[in-house]
Amino acid sequence: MRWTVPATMACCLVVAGPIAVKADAAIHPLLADQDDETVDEQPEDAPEVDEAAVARARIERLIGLASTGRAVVRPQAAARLVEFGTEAVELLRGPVGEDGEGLAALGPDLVEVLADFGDAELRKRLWWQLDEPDFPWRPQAARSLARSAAEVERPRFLLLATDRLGQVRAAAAEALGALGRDIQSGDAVGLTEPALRTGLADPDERVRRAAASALFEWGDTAAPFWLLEELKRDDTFFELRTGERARFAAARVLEAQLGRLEGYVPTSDPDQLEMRLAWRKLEERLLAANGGVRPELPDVAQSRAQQIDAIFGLELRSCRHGDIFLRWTADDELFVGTGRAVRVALPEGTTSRLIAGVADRLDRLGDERFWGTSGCDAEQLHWRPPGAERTANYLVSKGAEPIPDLRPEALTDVARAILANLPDGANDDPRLANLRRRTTDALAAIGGPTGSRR
Amino acid sequence: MLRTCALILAAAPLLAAFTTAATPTSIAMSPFAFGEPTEVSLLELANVDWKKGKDLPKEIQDLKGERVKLVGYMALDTPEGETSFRMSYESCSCSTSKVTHFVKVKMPKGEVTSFEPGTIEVVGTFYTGAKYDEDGFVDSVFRVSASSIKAK
Repeated sequence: MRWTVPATMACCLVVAGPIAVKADAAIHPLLADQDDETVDEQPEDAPEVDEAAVARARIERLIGLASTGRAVVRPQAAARLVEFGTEAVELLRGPVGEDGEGLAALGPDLVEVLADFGDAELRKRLWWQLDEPDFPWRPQAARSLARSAAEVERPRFLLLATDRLGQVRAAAAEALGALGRDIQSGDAVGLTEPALRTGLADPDERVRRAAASALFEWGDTAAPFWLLEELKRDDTFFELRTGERARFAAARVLEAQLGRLEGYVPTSDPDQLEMRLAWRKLEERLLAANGGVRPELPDVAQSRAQQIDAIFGLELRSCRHGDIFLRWTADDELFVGTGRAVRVALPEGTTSRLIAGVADRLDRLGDERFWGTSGCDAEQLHWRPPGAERTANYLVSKGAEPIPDLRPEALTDVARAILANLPDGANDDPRLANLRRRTTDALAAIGGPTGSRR
Repeated sequence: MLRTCALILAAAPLLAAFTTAATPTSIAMSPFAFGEPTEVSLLELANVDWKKGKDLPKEIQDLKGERVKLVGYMALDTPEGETSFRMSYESCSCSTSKVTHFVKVKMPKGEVTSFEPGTIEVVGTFYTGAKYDEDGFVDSVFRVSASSIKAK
């Protein structure tokens, strides 16, 4: 039987009577005071409060809020639910389902904390769903499991280290880092460290960072150079400050390990003299620890990003298919990825042909720029033709469930034209391998099928 | 003359995507409308290590009451016709929705929301400190009472 979380659950407890008042009181400290006064005023023959029913109502309400509440409330409600421990686990078993099939409906924020309950049965179901390619919250499930990774799960995390989703690989790296070096028994002997070293060259920066962080915590003196390099990043994807985001993430890890960062501030321009001096001091400290050796970083991990004057781009973020970032320049170049993106030289005239087709289709859309609703699936066309003052954004978004005919026909035409010009097939660079097929699949999962051949 | 120019600039049309529900008040009347606002990074705010009951870093607290400029995106779940919205550094719902990942922006007086998918620039007065909803959940830690909002 498939359980669904009733949408009304979050607000169904606004009913009269002592149970509802009590339920709210635990959630709101101010109401707790009011509740105490109310109890004092009750006559002596007032019915006794059923504490079990109160707790149950409170937990059910939190399950509803954690699943379908406002975005800012969901993670807080999920965290409160964990504090209830086994009482909450009992009430979660039904919605989670026999095979964990109800986890999709419970939403990403509840899945993110599910392993924190410490319940073996819930953990088992998280693993089962993580094995389902269509489960929309695989990154959340992986992170949840990674926070309390057990030694017996090491082979599974090793497998996840090669998952197709970057966020899942990053969670696996965190788990493997927490588990430490391999125990000298079983099948996993000696596999963990190579898996993390492979992660240092991953096309997804979150995986590289997680792998570097894990190795750094193990005492590896070369790994922090990967993080140090990120402190110099200043790349953008259109207006999105991808370099600054990376600087913050890397600085946080380095600060946790090294303490002071010699005056380095991630908000500042890394080319500023003060920041360059701070970076140099940090490098000297790392060099001293690494015997004066500066490790050679793979190209993908280098901070020197190309100056990309893109005319248009496509940003895909899919719950099930991961992220794809594409940019085209007037010089018939395609850049794939963020940070140090991989460059593909296109046949002469490709960009201008695409521009002509795209401009025509976008005109048909008038002033409309957004289709759908908020959620983990989003495809965004960034459009900045020569002479434009700013980038125009055309955004199609939804949650995990499909929405028929979501993408307008004009944007589907644009998608088809883009797909027809993407490289495909095998490639040594994972960012380019089967690019057309992966982009087709991601587009189909978000805005719907494009009708393009895979 | 300079003052006149400043008034005209400050009262320049707001973002076309926002509709006017009532006659807008003159932004130029705002006592904060002059001088360069302090640019605050939404990423810096998102990276603040804060949890319920914990103080915000002093440098963030010191911004309270300051005129600031924020550049970022409207949250994807921004409803139409509201007097406030959440702003974040990314346009997707791709990161965990920690409360510090958002700044709650109060629209300029008389203005209501209409979703804009691209980058926006918000100028206004900055406020900090946890505000709670009726259930005791933190609704916002950072807030801006906007004097102007425009597409970037």
